Amino acid sequence: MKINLLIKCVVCLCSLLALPVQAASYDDLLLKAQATIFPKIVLLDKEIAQKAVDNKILITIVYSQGDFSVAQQLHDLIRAKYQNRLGRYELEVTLQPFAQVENEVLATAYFVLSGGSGLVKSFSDYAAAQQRLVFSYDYRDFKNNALLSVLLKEKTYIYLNKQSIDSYNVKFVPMFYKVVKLFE
Amino acid sequence: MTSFSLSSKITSTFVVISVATLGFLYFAFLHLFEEHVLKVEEEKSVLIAQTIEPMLAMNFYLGLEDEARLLADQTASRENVLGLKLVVDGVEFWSKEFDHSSDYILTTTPIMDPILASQIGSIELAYAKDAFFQARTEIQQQILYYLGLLAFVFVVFGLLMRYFLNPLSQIADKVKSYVLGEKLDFSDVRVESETVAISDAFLSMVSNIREYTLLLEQYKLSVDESAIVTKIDLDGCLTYANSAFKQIANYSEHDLKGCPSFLLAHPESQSTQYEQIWQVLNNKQIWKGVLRHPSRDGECYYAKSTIVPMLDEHQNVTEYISIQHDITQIIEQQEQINRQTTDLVTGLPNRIKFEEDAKATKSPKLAILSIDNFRVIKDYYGYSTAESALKEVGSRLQNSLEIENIQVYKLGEGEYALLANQNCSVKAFETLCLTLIETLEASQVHYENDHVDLQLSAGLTANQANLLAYAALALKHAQDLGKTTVLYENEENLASQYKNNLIWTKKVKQALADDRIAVYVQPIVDAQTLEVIKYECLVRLIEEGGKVISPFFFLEVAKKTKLYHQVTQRVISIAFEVFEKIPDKEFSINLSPLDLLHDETLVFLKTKIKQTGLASRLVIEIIESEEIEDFEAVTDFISELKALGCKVAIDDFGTGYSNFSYLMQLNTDYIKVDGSLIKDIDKDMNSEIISTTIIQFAEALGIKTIAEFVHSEPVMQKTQVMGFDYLQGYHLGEPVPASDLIKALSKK
Repeated sequence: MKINLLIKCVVCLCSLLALPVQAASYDDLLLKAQATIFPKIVLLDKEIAQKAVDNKILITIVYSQGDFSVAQQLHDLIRAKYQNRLGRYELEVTLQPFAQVENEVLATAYFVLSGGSGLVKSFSDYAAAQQRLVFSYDYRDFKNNALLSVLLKEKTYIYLNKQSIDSYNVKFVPMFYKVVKLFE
Repeated sequence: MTSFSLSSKITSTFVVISVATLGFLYFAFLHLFEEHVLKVEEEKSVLIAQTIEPMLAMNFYLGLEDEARLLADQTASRENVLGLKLVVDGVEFWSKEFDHSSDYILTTTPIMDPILASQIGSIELAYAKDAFFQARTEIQQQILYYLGLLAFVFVVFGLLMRYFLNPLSQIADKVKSYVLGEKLDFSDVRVESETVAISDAFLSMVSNIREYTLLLEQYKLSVDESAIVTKIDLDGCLTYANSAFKQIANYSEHDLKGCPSFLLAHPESQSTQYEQIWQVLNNKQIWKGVLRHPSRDGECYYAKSTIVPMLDEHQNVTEYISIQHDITQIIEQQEQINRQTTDLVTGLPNRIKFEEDAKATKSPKLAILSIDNFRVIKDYYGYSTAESALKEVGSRLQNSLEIENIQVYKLGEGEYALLANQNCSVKAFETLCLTLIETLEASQVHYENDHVDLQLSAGLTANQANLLAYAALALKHAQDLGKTTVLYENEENLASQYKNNLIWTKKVKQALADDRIAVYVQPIVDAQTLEVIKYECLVRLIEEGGKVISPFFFLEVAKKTKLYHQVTQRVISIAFEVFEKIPDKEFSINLSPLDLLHDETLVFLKTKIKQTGLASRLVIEIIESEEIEDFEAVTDFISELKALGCKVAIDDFGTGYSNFSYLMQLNTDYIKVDGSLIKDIDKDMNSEIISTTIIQFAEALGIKTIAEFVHSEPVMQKTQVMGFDYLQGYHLGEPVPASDLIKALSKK
């Protein structure tokens, strides 16, 4: 176990050193839409009660180093929209960088900002193993095993990554499947 | 009034019932169908709304409003959806307007939050009724089609019915025009099994009617021949009278025509009876009873009558038929029987009626109530007062006992019988008799100026087999004991006494028949010389085995029957036969007051005296222990005997009813002092004193004295010393058969 952890730290450090630090561009409107929709989708999980942390809905926004401000903005949008309450639960939103998120308390669901395919893939696999929803800002992260995303076109679309459904082993309320678009 | 044929009635009834049924079914089914289809359409409308509601809710939840609009568009464009309105959070989110003038079903379905399950909005859906109207039109067309078909069936049915029932109409016409006596012919009627059955039934009915008519005619003939038959119209006038009536009433046809029937009522018949008859007849009921009618010759006849009101089909009286049977002879016989069974003085039923009623009464109880002092009343106050007393007592008894359902009869002199049935207990009956006697004794009977006190007693029994005998025995017992009432069943001795009486009565009767009534003679000697001067004739009954029976056993019993007088006459007869053969000796014959009042016995005695010429030797001993009721008659007879030369002795003097005045009135020659005074005279001072007084009195009157019961030497000596003239008793000579005396004297 200690060797694995050491290897992971080395890989992470190498990655940080190897990649230039640059921020991705984010659409405010999309962010706002996602900040509205994503917490609601969390409540559509049938096993939400088991996944609540101390009877709270804990949503962790996972970001890469350059996206902290976006993460903060997203955090603020969610808080503004829902205050501290989501349905019958208390809502708590935290921010965690990709490098630390797995060491922290397991959240109810995760919102992943852009972080490069390696980080997103690695984290999504981790979250899928824990049966935690991973909502991605960028639907292209579906190839990195992200589960859900929202897209604004002529109207708002919620996408569900069809290929990842099995790995997440998450069960939504049936009607949810009627309104989402399956991403092939 | 038009009369419809049976076929028309059946068809029209069938049509009416069918149309009514179909109409009812049509409206019922249409109503049910409308309700059902309308419900289905409503359910369709609700189903549409319920189908889109979850998706709409999810879209609204997730904020996918475009999706919600798209869904609303798709729904609104569905067939029969006239309009749709979505309201979210109280604000109209989407709507499609429609023409409200057309028929539609409006349903409102709530939109629920998929997470919180709270209502967030509603779906208002207007659904067209087109499908409903179309379905209704189709079913109406179907029903009308079938009704048309049915109407055709009805017409065919009616025609067939007319055809099938035509023979019935033919039969009806023939029966309607049938005249009794003619032949009823159904040969031209179409043959069907049912018509044959009906024709046969009518033919059978006609045959029965003929038979009944014949029977009725025979009945009429029988009634006319056996009864008096009249018909009376509603006014009571005769409209018909058969020959029996004319014959008994001696009226001709002309006399009776239109004669008011009840003018034929006998003038003595009570008019209330005819009022009652009309009352019954006016109530359409049958009257039965006995009527008394006059005949033309002034006589009358009694008829047991039955008057029947004849009713028409509407139960109205058309006339009355009277059927009568002549019972004049029965009535007259009944009246004669009534006269025979009624006591003429009191008007009460007599002993004959009592015996009839007693036989017919269940568990009878009898009381013989006797006016004990009746003879005294009769002798003292006379016959009129006595009869008045009898009537008065009878009337009071009847009035008192009517409500108790106890019958009163008049029996012998001064005696009444009270007969109770099973409804009256013996105890109650006894108490009732006691109360009656007390009441009657407490009051007097008044006749003119006489006020008579009554003394009554009663003998009761409940023995059905021997009612009169036991009650009489109980009465006698009551009188002997001085009691008011005696119930036979309460006296143990009475039963055996009664039985004993029967035995001795039978023995005496047989002894008379077999000539076994014997005379024994006992010598009476001169007190001083002890020479036999005369003999007392004593009666004995010789039993079949030769045993000699003392009169003590049978004489009292014989007194209660007619046999007693036969016994007396037999003794008289033997005594005269014996003493015709024994010259110079006096002989005495005992006669009781009963004998002295019995004419036949007295005539017999006088005849014997005259035939034998033994008057101078005959002494009549009058038994003094019995009361002489008709003293005057007795003294008359004694005077007659004495005139013939007979002597008279008073027997048993000193204990009974006699006294010295009695002796003087009877003009006696001898006094026989009772044995009870003599038997202990040698020791008993009282007996001696009484006897001495009697002797002195007799000497003063010139009457000879005889001492009875001289059974020993001391008694004999005592009586000799005291101065008795004659002595009699076992010490001086026992009674011996008269034949032995004849033999003994003939030897001398």
